[in-house]
Amino acid sequence: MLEIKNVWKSYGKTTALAGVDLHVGRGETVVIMGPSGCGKSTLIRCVNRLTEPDSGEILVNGSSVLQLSDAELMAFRRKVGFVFQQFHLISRLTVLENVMFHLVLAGADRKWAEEQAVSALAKVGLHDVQGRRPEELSGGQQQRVAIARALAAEPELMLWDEPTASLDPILVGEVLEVMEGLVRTTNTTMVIVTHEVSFALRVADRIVLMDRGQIVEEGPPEVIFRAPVSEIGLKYKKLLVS
Amino acid sequence: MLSFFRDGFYKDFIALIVVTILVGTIFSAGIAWALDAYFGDTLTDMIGEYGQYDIILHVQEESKEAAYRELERIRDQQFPGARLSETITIAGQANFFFGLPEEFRTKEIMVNLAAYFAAVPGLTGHTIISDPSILIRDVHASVSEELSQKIEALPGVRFTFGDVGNMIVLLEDPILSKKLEAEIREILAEYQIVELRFPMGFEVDTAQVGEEAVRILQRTRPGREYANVTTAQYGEDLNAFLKTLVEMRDFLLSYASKVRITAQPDVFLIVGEQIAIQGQAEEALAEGGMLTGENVVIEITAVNGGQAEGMIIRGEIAPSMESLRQEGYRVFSDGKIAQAVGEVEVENERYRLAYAIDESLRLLEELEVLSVQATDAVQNADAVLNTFQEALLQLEVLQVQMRQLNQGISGGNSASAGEQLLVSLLINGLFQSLAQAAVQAGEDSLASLENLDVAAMRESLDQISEQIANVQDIDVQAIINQIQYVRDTLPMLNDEDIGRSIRLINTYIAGQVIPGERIQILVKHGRVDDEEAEKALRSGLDNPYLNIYTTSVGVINPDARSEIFRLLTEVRAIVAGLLAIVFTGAVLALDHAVVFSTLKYLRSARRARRTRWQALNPILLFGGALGAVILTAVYNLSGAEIPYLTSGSIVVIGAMVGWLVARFAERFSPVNVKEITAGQALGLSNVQIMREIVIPSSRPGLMNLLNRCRQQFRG
Repeated sequence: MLEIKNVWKSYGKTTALAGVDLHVGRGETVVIMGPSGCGKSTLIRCVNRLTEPDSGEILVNGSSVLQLSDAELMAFRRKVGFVFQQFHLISRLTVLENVMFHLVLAGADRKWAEEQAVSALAKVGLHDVQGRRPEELSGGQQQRVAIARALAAEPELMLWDEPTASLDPILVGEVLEVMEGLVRTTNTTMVIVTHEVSFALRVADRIVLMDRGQIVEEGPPEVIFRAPVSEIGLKYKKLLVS
Repeated sequence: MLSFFRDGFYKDFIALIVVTILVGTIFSAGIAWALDAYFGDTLTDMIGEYGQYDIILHVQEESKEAAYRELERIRDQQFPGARLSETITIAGQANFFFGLPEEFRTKEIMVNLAAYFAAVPGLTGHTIISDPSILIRDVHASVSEELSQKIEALPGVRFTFGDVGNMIVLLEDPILSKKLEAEIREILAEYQIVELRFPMGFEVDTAQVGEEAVRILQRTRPGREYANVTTAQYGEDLNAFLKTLVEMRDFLLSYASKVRITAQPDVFLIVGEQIAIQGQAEEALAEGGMLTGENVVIEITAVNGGQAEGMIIRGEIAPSMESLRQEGYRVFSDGKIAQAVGEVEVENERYRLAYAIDESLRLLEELEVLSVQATDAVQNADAVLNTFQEALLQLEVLQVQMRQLNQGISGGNSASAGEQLLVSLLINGLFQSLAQAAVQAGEDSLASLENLDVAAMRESLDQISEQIANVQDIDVQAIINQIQYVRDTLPMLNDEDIGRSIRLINTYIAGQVIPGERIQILVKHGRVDDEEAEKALRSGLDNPYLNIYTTSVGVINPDARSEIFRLLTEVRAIVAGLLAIVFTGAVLALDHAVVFSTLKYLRSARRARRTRWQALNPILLFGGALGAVILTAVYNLSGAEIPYLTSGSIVVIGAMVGWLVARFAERFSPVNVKEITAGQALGLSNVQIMREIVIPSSRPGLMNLLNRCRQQFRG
């Protein structure tokens, strides 16, 4: 479904992506791991062009994302759910509005959008906070609202950019639980950037390890964590053992 | 950047710009108009409506009540139906408006209008404000009558009248004002005054030189009519003043210490040069040293070969009858002593004068005492003379008796034994010898005493006595008092004060401050060029120092009321201009800056190609263009006009303001980058991001207000 070919991205003199190639199949859950600054977030932001790659090719369902016009890009983004590390909720809107507003703006019927939003919120375990504003919620709840917002449009592809990195350890669990549930109950293709090794081990169809802008190792979790070949893989294995 | 607007936001933005311009215009023009209206009303209260009043009478504040009563009396008795009102009091001066009924607005009354109010208590002046009128200021007296006739002949002019050197042209209708002003201007242009100014000190027979100047101009600049119209008053007053100044300078010069400088053979002194001497300082001057407060500085006023004269311009010499002789040195402006120039001799004239006055006072006091003593002496002499006469008489008797006695002794005439014994006793021995000697001597002495002219002596004594009486008749005490008065009233000036005063007077007399004598030539039917006239008159009068000026015989003064209202209009335009600039800056910074901030974020996220020069960043250029458009539009639509600012300047100012706001947009109006990114990730278009995310979160303002109707989620 998603094909990334020789993608390069630099920020000034710093190379964030150095010729990354990655293929994600439909319905597959791929977890990207690696040390901070290795280019994981940049890679998934390039997929929906929140970050413009310098070169390379990104194909989704065989169509080049980088060749899309502004209108096509917007349409493409509506089909791709994106969960940010820091939730990125619209503070002035209620929880329900946060989840439904992009559906309405995309031209959906307001009532349908509301139903979709309620349903999405239910999926993440939020039933009674629809009228609240984001600042009235805990970090975990806010992230679950963000997940619901991404789910509401029933995306073909979900991109998760370290969704638990901003949460304190107590709240991480509730988000991971939601994520794990989603992985198991939906057939959505997922690319998840995370540092949660055990979570990755449980939910990933494939784990991709990155270091210095490159994919250094990939494979099923049991292979990656049992017999890693890369330096990063060895470190994660050590972490898992401990 | 264009893509940002392309998907629909351009409509929102254009609407915003239009509304901004409209609001800015209403704001700038409205406040300016309100100010204009307020000041206009205030002014009307102060100076009355157009044509409502004819004269403003300025009265001392303390006489206000009495003046008002008198004005009421004048109104009731002389101008029934006249309007009288009191206006503001400024700086201790009350002001009253007086408006004549139409039937009283005749030439006869207007010419003497001020005279009707001459008896108003505390009146300090007046201002004629009759309308509709044209005021011609400083009308030259020589053409006043002629001008009046010509102007009164113009259609639309009711009449003219004079007021303190000005001519007021009363019109029939204010609409004719511009037209008549132009016509009067043409009449004035037919005349010209050529003024000849002579440097100070030139004694000029203005009549004779004036006629000569007229002839020169007739000869060298023919085709015009010339007349000598010199007014004497100016020259006489100035001459009197000049004479006073010259006398004052001469007095000060004679009162100042006399300074003579004998230059060394190789030294050439020049007038105006400054020379320093030791003065009362303890240490002698030396080349290379610095002046001290006790040193004396002299300015050279005249040079004659190796001798020079000067005056003290700094410092003081000791009071002494003796001349002060010290070595003189050139001195630089920074107080540094330069080379020695020669011997300087200074005489303290003021001290000598004071000394002489004191000695005179002493003399007079002594004289008064002396006259009393002389009277006593004369009286004593008279008594002596009387005694002398008596003594002389007795001596004569004694002489006769002695002679008789001597004859008796020598002749041996028969006498009694007793008489002979007595005679023998008298004449025996030494006594006899003495008696004989006395007789012999007595004859000579008495002869000489008899020869004394006692009458003449008495007459002389009488004369002396009379003269002493005359001296005593002189009121010496009065003289003493007056001399003391003169001494006490001598200026308490030191040499430094005197030197400075003389320099100042010289500056005035040199013509730097006060113009010299002048001659005025009236030119009719044509004009004369300043330079040409100067050349001809300098040459013709053989005076290269002559200066020539040409002036008009009168200047049309803009109507004061119109001027004030024009000024108010200008103020309104300036206020509108300033408000337009302030509004543009404020609206850009507080309202539009959020667009710049969003554009800058999107540009950075898209990693657009960076420009080498930050100033050429498209967003900053866009800000500049936006600022220029808004300010130019608001400025022009609000009727703003700031002096010295052209349309181009306004465009530049607007562009600068816009550029600066765009440059620092994030500080004025930061955007929530996370929310924008979320919007992008959710597939929102730019216009949706602006309408639903950016603008609703921005400051309340025009943009926010306009956005409300397009916003789908109010939050």
